Amino acid sequence: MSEAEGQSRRLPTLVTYCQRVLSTYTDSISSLGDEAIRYDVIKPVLECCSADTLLRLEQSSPYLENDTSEIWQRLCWKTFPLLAEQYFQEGSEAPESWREQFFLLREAEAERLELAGSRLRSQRMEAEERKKEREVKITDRLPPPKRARGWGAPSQPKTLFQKTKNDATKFRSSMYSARVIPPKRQRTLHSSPSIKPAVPRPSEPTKNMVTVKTVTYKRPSIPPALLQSSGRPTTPLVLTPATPPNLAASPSFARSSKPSPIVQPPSTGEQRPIKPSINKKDPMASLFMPKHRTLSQLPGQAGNARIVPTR
Amino acid sequence: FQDAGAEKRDDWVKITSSDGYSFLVKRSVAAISGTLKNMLSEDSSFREAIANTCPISERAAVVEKVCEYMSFKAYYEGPGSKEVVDVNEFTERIPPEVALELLLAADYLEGVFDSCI
Repeated sequence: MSEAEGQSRRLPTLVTYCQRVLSTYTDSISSLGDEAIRYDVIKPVLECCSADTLLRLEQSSPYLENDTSEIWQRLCWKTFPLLAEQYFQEGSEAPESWREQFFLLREAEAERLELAGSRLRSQRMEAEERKKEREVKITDRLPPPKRARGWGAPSQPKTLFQKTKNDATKFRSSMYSARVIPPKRQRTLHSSPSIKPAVPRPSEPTKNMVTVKTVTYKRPSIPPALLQSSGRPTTPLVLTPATPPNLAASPSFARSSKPSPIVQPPSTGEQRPIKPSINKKDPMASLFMPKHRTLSQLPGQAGNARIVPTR
Repeated sequence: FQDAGAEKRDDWVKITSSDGYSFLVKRSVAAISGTLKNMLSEDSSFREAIANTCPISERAAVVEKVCEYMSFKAYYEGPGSKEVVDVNEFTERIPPEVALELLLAADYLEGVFDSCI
């Protein structure tokens, strides 16, 4: 049989063309016809068939089976490389029917795949479930409230930065609220004006003015005559005018008709005008204070004494 | 002209199909098929030769493709064409439905196809 070779100028034979076309559409071939076809004509087509098509064609044209052994063998090796390899190593006898062998191998392969498939499936489902737990869900229930700050230790124990921040915050808040939260001390020193807006003395008008309390004692300008007539020695009375003239005149004063002799200086001392005391804790006093104080100036610091210059 | 070989004549010959169709081709084209060539050879005393008619026991669709192929081949292997033919040029012209029959017919006809045309 002359078969045209694929030489450059030579056209493929019509047989060749037909074989090509048929090989492309093998699965559409229902049967090879009633007449027997020579094997070598149809062979290239059969070699391109799938196992199922080959089986089908053999069933419709059983004479093919005589020659298709080699095709089946090739199919075994091509389709199931691993399993065929296994088989070959176990016992190197060729099976009676490669066709049978093929279908046995196919079953084994199917089992293996099924096993792997189910494993994969379960893995995938587990992964999906895990994913579902993490995904955002739509609900109409409130999530549990977060812990308010300060209920527990901070997640990261105080880093330096955190500490600084805390200190700054505290400082700042203490500074601004200094007027509001009065420290409880500072009663002993009258001279230092307390910043607290303590309740002012009810009796006195709270004004900017410094109230000066003076106590005067009676001038010994009482006519000596009177006194003398009383028969008391008036000598000490002479001293009296010499007493510091810081006595505010207060005519309405009670006369100290008592004999206040030498005791006077002490009593005078007592009666020396007391320095103006800003006892009323009036907030206006803090006007004298600079707005921002350094740490050492904080009222909260122990031992601080400050004297406000008196008016 | 009877003296020149049948090869010299390039008259029309008829190819018929089993279902009554006829196809006219040039003798030179028909001679592509060795089988046909012999049948049409005037050296033979075949009935076909006398009548210049070759019946092919295939249906018309198949016969038509046979003629088509022969024309195709005659052209490309003739002196006129120097182009390289794409291998698949003719493949496209074969509908799958006739491929099987065409294969069988081609096998029969090509059985005697001369590859050294």
